[in-house]
Amino acid sequence: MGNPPPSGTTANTARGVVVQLLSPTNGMVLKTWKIAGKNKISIGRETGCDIEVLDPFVSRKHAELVHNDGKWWLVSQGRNGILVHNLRVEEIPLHGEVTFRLGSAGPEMRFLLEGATESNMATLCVDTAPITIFMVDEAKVQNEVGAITAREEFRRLQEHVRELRRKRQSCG
Amino acid sequence: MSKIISTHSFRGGTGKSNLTANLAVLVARAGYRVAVIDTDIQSPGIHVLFRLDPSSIKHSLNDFLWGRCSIQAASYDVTASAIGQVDESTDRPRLFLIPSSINAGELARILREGYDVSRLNDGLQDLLSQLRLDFLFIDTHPGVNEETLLSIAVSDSLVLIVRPDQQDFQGTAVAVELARKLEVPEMFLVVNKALAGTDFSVLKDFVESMYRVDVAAVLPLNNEMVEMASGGIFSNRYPEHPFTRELKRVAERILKPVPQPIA
Repeated sequence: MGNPPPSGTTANTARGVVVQLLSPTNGMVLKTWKIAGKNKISIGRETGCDIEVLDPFVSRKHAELVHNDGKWWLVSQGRNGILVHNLRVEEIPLHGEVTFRLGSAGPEMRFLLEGATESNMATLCVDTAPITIFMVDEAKVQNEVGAITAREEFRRLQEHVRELRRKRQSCG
Repeated sequence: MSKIISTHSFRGGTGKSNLTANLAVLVARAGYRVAVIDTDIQSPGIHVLFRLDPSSIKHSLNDFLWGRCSIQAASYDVTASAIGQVDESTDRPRLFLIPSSINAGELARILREGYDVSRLNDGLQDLLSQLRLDFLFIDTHPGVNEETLLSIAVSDSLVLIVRPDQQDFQGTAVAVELARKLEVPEMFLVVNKALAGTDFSVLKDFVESMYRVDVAAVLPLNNEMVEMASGGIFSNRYPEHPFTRELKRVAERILKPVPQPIA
């Protein structure tokens, strides 16, 4: 990469970042972290990580986002590694939007600088495919309901519940 | 006044327990004392979602029904695992679980002998008062057996889960009619596992007109839920997922007071 590993010790204030957890099936955003005012952001399974990702393929301390010399770096911490474009990396500078994977079988994440366009926002996907029409056999329903409600136990239950509701309402 | 909510589906496999657990968590997170009781005694499982270790279950709902313990003794505070650590000095939010036994002998006994449903009713009322609950969720057994009818009957609110499936639609019609005859004050439907490519708004309108019951949400078939394989509470893990956002709408509906009959 041509640069020394980032230290995260610089005093300059980093621009806020946005990190998104992406769906493994369709890439939509499942969770978003917006973090500002930090030069080092931890990612991992461990409670206390700035970005806590509960996934069996994520290490307790999996990676760090480190701000150094005016830019953000993604640095691998755990033994499961980080993949960018399916290539394993130990550290990589982040120039704008970058998608990375935590471990070869772990979840995919997206890094953005705050204020950049957050693409692919989650939404319910609706298209205009025709709905299959389901039917209810009303006569069959009435037969089944009639068989149940005709029983003495059902009538007792109705009375019991009316009494119970009266009591609960009077108790407030 | 506390509110009893039954979540029910006519058939199994609708995602009922998952929805119940997630709704209970969302309601508790709003700052309430909530309990979930697993009355699906013949096929219990909701304890798995709350990560309640079976070896830590000293008493279950079964023990209460056989008269071996109080209902409170069969309740477990799962607040920490379900919504995280809360301030011990305050009594809200809290989340309790009353699990059913997964012991094979207990399951066989229930199937063989049944149980006294009036004792279940007593237990529900005791839970409300002893745990000072704001909301009690009943995860029912699918179908319309005696104990399920009792759970529906004592509810202030009934959430019926239905999949876009012919058998579900037919059976749900029976459950809706029975709930009406039991004068359940509030009832709404949740359509779960709707396939991609379905026009959700058309499906919602269709279901509402078919049953004359409001549809609180149409939830998509959820690959991430399948991948979690009952490994926890979905809304905790994916708080911004479209599925969670729709669930929050259902939870908001549950949080509203029950409409009272005009005296």
